[in-house]
Amino acid sequence: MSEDIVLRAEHISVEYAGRRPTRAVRDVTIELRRGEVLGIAGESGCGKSTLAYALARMLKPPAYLTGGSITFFPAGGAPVDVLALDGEGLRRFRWNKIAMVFQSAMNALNPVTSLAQQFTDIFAAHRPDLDAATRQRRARELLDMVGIDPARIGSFPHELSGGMRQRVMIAMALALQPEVIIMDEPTTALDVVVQREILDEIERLREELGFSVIFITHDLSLLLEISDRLAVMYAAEVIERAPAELVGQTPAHPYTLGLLRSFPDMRSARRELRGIPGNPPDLRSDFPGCPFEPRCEFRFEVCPTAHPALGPPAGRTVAVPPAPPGGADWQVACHLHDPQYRPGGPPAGLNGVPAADVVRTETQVGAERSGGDT
Amino acid sequence: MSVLQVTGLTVEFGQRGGAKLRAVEDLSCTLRAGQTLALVGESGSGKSTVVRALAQLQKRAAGQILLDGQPAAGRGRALRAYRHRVQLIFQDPFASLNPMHTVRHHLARPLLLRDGHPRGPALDGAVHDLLRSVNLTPPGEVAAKHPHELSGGQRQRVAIARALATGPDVLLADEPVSMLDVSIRLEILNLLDRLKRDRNLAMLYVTHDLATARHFSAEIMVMYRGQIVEHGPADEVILRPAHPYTQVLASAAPDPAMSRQALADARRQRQAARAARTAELRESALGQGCRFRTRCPHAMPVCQTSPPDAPAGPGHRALCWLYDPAARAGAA
Repeated sequence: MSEDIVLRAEHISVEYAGRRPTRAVRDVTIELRRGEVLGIAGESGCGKSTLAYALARMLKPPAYLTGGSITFFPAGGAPVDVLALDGEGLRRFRWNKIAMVFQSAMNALNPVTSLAQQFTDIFAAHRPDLDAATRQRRARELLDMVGIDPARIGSFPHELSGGMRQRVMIAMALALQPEVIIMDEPTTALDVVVQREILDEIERLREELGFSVIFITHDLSLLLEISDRLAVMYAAEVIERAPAELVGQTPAHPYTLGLLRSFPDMRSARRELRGIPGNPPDLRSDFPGCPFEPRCEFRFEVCPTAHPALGPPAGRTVAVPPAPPGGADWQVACHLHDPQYRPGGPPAGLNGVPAADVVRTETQVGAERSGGDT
Repeated sequence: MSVLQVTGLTVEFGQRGGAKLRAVEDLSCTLRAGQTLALVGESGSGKSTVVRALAQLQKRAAGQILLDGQPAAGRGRALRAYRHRVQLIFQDPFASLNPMHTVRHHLARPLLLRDGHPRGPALDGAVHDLLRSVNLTPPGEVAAKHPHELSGGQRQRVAIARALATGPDVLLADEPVSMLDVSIRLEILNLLDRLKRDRNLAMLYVTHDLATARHFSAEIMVMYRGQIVEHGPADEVILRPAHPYTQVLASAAPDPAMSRQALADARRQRQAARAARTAELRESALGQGCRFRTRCPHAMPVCQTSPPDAPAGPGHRALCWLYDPAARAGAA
C-alpha cells in the first residue's frame, strides 16, 4: 500500500497566532498517490492554501504548525520525515522534491530581473555544479517544454501575458524535476481559454514526466474534470474525500452538494439556481458540532452538538467497489451517513442516487425558452 | 420598451507614440426594462470600458446614448440626473465602500443628494427599506455597522442597496460576484434578478462566466478585443455559438458531464490544433481585418478584411465572414 504513496500528511493542524488564534487547518489527513492529481476544493478562507503551505514547509509566522506529521516517500528511497528537516536539509528538500506554483504569477516572479536570471538563480542555489552554459540550455528547454518560445528568455515578467507568466511559473516548478507539485489556484486569475491551455499543458507534462499534483482551487467543476481524487474542505477541515469522477454525480456531504449547485452547468436546462445561504464561519471559533450545520438544509438534532468524523458514506456500496485505484476510499464527515443517527440512510440527493438538479445532461434547446428571462 | 439605447459607441485611449488604442469599437445595444443583457468576454476585451462609458465616467470618442429616447447629457445638472437613473455595481465590494463610514452613511448620502430627502426618522426608514430590499436584516443593526464588520456578500448587498437608493431605471453590474465566495454568488445573482423584476430595471450584467450569463440573461453579447463579435438570445449564443471565438470560449469551460475518455480526446484535439498554429502566428500584428483570425480555426483569406455583421439565426448576429452569403458562396 505505502509504496504507491508519495506524500502522506496526517492530523495536520495550523494556527495563525493572535489574541484569539485562527485555527485555519484542523486535524487534516491527506495522502497523495504517485502520479495522481489530488484536488483540494473549498471556498476562500477554508484553509486550503494554508494546508498547501504547510505541506511544503512554507508557513511563515504568524502561522504555526501545531500538530501532525508529514512523510515524503521518494521514488526508490527511504521515507523522509518532512517536519524533522531543517536548515540545509529543508533547503535541499523544497523545490527539489516538492515544488509550488502560486496563484499570482506577477507577484511570484521577480519584476526587475529577466527570466534567464531567475532560472539561473534556481540552478545556482540548487544545482551549483552546473556550468553557466548548461544552465542557459536547461532554462531554454524548460521554456520550450511549457510552450514558450525560448527566444523570450531575455524577457522581463511584465513583457509577458498572464498566461505566459503562469507557464513560466510552471516551468520553474519543473526545473529541478520534483516528484510533487503543489498548485495553488494556478489558473484562477486567467480567463477560460487561457486556463484551458494551461490545464492541457499540465496534463501533457504530467503524462511525460510523471509527477504528482496537489491542485487547489475553489472551482469545483474544474476540479472534477482534472483530478483523480478530491478532498473538499470546509471551515478548516476535510469534510469529504471522494473519487472525482463519481462525486460530481453523487456527492455525500450537503456542503459538496451545495458547492456543486453553485456552479450552474452551462448547457443544462434552465432551472432555479441556488447557492448556499449564510456565510462561512469564523475560524477563530470552536465548533462543538458540525461547522456546516448553520447553513445546512438537512440539519437535524445532533448536528449542533456532536462533531462528525470522517467515515464511509451510506448508499455507495453498489457504486464504488469494484473500485478503480483510489475509488474505495470515499469518506464523509456528516451525521446523515451515520447509521446510529440515521438508520434509514441519508436523504435523497446525498444517498448515492444522482439528484435531479445535480446530474448534468445534454439538453435540447430552442423549445426551452426564447426571449425574456424570468 | 427600450430604456437605454446605445449606437456606435467607440472609446479611445491616447497612447504614447501617437496611435490611439480603440478599447471599444462601434458598439450598439439596447437595454430594456425588466430584462438583463449579458456582456461576456476575456479580461482586457473592453467590458469594463463599456460600463464606464455607459455610466459616463469615460468620454466616448463617438456614438450616441439615448435614455428613454433622450440624448444623454454629458455635463451639469442633466448629467447628475442621468447618473441617478443609471447606477453602477462594482466588482470589488471591499474597495467600493468607504471603510470610514457606516452602512447608514453609504445609503443616506444618495438619498439626501438626489432630492433632498427629509432627515430624521423618515431617512432612517428609507435606509431600512433599502436594507430590507436586499435582505440585510435586522436593518437597524446592519445600518450601524462599518464595512469591515460585514462579509463580502453582505458588503455587495450594501453596494446594491446604494445603487437602488437613487431610484435608477438602469443597473450596470460589472462582474458583481467574481470577488465573492462561490457558495454565495448565486444568492447575489438571484437577488439582482429579483430586484430587476420587482423594479422593472434594465440590467447590463458584465461577466466572464458563460454559465451564469446564460442563466440570468435574456440576451448575450460576446466581446473580443473591443468589438462585439456575437449578439443574440442567451440560449442560442451559448448552445449554438455562431462566432468561432464564442465556440472556443464555450468549449473551454469545464464540463463535468464529460467522461474521462471524452476529456482526453478533446484535449488531444486541442493540442493538435494549437500545434498547427505556430507561436509566431499567434503573436503577429493585426492591422486590418478580423481580430480573431490569428486564433481562428476557420480563418480564410477574406478574413484579412473587416468582417461583416451577418445574421446567424433569428435575432442572432455574428461579426464573421462565415455568415456572409457572398463569402460563403465564394469559398464553396
